[in-house]
Amino acid sequence: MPKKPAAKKEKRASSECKAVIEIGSNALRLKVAQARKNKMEYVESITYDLNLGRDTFGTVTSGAALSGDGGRIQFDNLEKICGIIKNFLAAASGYGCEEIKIVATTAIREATNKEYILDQIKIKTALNVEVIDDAQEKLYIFKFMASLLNDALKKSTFLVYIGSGSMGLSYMTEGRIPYAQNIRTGSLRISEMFNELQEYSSEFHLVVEEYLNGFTDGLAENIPGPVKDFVASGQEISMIAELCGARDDGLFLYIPRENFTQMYEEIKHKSVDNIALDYRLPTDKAEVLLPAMAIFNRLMEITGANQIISPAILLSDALMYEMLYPKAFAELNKDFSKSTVLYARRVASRYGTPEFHYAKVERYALKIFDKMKKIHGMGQHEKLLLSTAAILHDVGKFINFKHHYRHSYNIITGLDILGLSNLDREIVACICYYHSTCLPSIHDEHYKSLSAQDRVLVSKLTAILRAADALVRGSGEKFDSIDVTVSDELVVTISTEQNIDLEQWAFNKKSDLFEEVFGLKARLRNKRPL
Amino acid sequence: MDKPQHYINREMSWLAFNRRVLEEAQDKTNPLLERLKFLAITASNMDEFFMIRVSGLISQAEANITRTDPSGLTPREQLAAISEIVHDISTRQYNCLNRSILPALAKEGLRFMDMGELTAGQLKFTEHYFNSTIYPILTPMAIDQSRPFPLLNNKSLNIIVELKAKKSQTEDRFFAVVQTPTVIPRVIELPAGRALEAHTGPDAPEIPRGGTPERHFVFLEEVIREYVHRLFTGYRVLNASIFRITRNSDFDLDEEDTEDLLMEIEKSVKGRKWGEPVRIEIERNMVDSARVFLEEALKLDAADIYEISGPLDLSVWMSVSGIKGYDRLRNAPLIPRPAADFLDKDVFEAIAEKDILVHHPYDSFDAVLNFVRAAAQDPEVLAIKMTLYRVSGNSPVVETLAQAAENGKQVTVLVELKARFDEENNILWARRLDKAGCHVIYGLVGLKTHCKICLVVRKEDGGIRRYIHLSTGNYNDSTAKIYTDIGFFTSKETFGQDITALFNLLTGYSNNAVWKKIVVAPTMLRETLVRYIDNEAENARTGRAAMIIAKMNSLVDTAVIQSLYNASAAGVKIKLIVRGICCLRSGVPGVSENITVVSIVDRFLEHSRIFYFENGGAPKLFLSSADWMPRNLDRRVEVAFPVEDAALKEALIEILDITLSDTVKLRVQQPDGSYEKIDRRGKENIHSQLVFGQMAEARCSARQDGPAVFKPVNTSEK
Repeated sequence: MPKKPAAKKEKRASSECKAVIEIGSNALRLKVAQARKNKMEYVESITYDLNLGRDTFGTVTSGAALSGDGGRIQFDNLEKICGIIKNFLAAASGYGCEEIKIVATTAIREATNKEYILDQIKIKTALNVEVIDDAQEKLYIFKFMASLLNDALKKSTFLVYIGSGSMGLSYMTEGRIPYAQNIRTGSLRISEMFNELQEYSSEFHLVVEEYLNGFTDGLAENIPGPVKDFVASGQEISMIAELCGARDDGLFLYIPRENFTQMYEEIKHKSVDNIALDYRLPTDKAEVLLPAMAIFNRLMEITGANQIISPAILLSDALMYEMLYPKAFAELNKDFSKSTVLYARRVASRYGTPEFHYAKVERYALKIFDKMKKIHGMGQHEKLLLSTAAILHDVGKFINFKHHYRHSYNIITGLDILGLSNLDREIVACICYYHSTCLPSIHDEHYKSLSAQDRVLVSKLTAILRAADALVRGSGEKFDSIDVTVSDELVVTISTEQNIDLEQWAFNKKSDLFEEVFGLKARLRNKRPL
Repeated sequence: MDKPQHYINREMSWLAFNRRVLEEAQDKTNPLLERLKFLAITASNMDEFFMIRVSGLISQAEANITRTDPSGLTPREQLAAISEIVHDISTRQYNCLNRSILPALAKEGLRFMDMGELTAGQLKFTEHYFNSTIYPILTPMAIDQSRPFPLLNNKSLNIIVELKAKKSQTEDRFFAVVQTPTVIPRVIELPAGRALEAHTGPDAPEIPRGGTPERHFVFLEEVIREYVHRLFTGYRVLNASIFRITRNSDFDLDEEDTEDLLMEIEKSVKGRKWGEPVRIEIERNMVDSARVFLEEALKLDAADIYEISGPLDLSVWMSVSGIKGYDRLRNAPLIPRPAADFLDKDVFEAIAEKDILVHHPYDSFDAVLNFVRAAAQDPEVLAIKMTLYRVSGNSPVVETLAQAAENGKQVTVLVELKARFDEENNILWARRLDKAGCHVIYGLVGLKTHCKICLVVRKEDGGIRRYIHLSTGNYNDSTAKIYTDIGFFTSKETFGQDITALFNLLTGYSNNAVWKKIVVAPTMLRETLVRYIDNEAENARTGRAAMIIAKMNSLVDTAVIQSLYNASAAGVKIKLIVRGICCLRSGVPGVSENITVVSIVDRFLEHSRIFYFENGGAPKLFLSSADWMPRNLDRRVEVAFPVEDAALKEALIEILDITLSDTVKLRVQQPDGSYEKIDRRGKENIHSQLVFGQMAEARCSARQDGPAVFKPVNTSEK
């Protein structure tokens, strides 16, 4: 028996193992890792292949893949899911894991019987599955991906993640991401959609390429200038890398464009059976290889990159990083919110909102937000939502001044805002809906469908935005800064010799919500009236 | 390359192996009781051969399967050839016993008597023993129209008695069968000496040569036959003869349909007794009426009947060979030494320091037991995972794992219930582990888990660290004393990940895996072996160094053999050390002239599997649980793992070199498939198993003595 001093036996938080279980579209994954000297070290990584995507995206359930609605997760698969999770929990406990996070992605999210599935998993395994939405999934991945890139790779880069059921594209320049888009298609989804075609058509790749054009046509015009690097990850990237003889430097896989193209040319005329036989792949993997390579191929054509650089990370890796290094991850968030703001500005400009307007509204809103911290109790993330709303609130004017808030709402809910989850996006859209005339009302469908907590959040941020927006009337040249003090009332002090009757009127009218939400009267004061 | 004449029939090759064992019994340079042991082994080997292999062929023949094996024989042709050879071997076995071993034993004072040779006093003893001990446990079974031929146990020894009613006016005769009981010893010591059992105690004195007291023995069945008439009052015993039946014991579980494997095996174990008879051994001079009766009752051909001139079932001599007090008639014991690399070290620290090899039985199996024990007790150990294929009846491994579970470790044990002939034993300790809180699993449907792997997960200051033990032999402390095997300890993370992934597959936690170091059957092993062999062929063609040395128990797989033929034709020097079956025919011009096949049959059963590939001067060495047989490569979970540490590679190469240079126990396969010892004239006497024993001793004492130190003389003793 090793005789060790007792002190050494104390568990150190840093070496504690943590586990992530991901219920993906084509497999369930368990990852167990420990934090070691700022390097995440996996001690266990189990994959159990289970094609849930077939249930959800499959054409068997009458065109579920093409319609918005998903199919149903079959009951025997539910049994399997629970069995696998139980096994995973046993495996994780072998490392003394206490913290276990379990998430589900597209296949569960889009299943029509999602709620029942989650309920059963909860009953059988006592775990609450967090369903990660499209946007969140990409956000996690891109955030983690970006953190791995060195400065040279951040200059002009196309970042791509191809999941089984959805993919995310984004363009990075000088470390920021001004453009991002989520596309609801992925390797498995395509394979399931065109299942029968793949078996009978020798020109299956043409079908896929043509189908993809619909998604990628608008892409090139959104990417300013030539893209230098192509950084990609996804379920199939490791398999593709191996087939293409990629180089591995421990951090990234490097797939030369030449090899990739050659490989794609080689497989595109082959049947699934032949792909499976020729490359010794299980049928499941062989099925998704062509769609996955077709997507990468199409996207590579858009860039001028001579290789695919892949950190080969999946959602579970990013989640694990967040669990093991919460502080570092929060830093990433902070950094990433700059990209979100940048993106929002681009959208606002695209919809013709004058920069002087949204920039000022944002600045004033944030000032009020900061001064009121003790009263509203909100944090960094809410501040980002406020910024985004402040920038985007008037985009609806592009369609019509009349009811522009309504158009703003519709435009925003139709955007992919990198850095925001779908729920975040809904909240921003709601804030913008109420920034102008209407006040939050339980009779409004979009407001009603939020949780009570989120309704309060919308109201609080709306109150601030309305006040800030009231200060920027006309061309907004009357003053360029505000002072905010908070005591038993909120006083916004400006200094101008110009007439501010319009601003005063608007402020009084728009700060009504302020009092109702914060129990605080808001007052506008001019330090230097004429 | 795949012509029938290039292959040796598997059964013929196995019979040739059993001949080699018999040669050890015949070899007068072996101590007498060792020879007796080898003789007993040939018999139990042969039993298993009939129960499994011959049974299988009979089933095929009865199903009229006419497909030929690689050597071009149909099942019927094989059965005919087997019968002929086994009859020959049987004659040789009893010649060896009757003409050589029994007279030699008599010279040592150990006499096995016929009833006719007994003195009046000894007869009085046997009569009393019959009446008091044997009679109450005998169950005679008469056979007539209302009572069919009884179901006799597999491998049971029986007496068939022909009877006639004393008062009957007719000449009507009928038969009865008496099974000899298995609950009392078959060898009975007579009062001339002391009871055999009295000499099995640890304190039994060594009997000096010369002044040996005479000791007399008689066989149980002879005593029963002598007094068998007492079982049938009112009848006259016309004759009584001894016979033994062997039954089909091959069974295939239909696993796909089996919900509960354990229950299925329990049923099957019970069912095994009643398989069809495949062989009957009768004593020479059995009267024709009895012989014909048995043939008809058991539905056997003349070819399945073996006439024996001596006591039936030679495996009985195994117990005699263990008689206490006659160590001078045995090999000097070779004592297992503590594995040098673990001496005076914490088990985990030793493994963390470097990879370690242990060569059993020369290095003691305690190294493995200590590893598991340390894991069970160490507070930093979180989990232990282990495969158990065959463990000994009272296994310390099982006990330790149960304790580990009680100590709060997560213990996962993969129990292979399908290890042949051990099922009853297996089920008992599986239950035991389950009760202790171990997670007991029964492996994958359709595949036997044959790999021997153990994983210990430890939480150390730096984080999780895994310790691995991989072996060519089972976690069985009993067989580890008589099988040569090689164990490998490592804490390398690549192995840790591979073995973890393998356990995840075996436990059903995952359904796919990629390997970093190990090669796993049934998915990749054959393909990988063929690739390495082909690589040697390619190297030979391009003029680079090319050589293969492979040590295993059996070589049967046709794909691998063809690959070896190709390599030989390409000029690769191939040395195969195959203890048992080898279907590859060496020395065929143009096919296998560069291949030599050698076999070692000695006191320890050669069991390790070592594969060496020259690899153009950067040798690759693998250890494995797998033989190159279809069953290992297709129907079992097996592991081959590379040994990469330079010093350990050297050690393995040394083991292969010493084995190949053996001049005492090495036999070389001849082109006709027979094996011959090499001509020792002018050669150094190298007895490889003894050399390995000396090496282990030297390793151990070099480590124990440590560097020279100055020891003060203890003056007070003067």
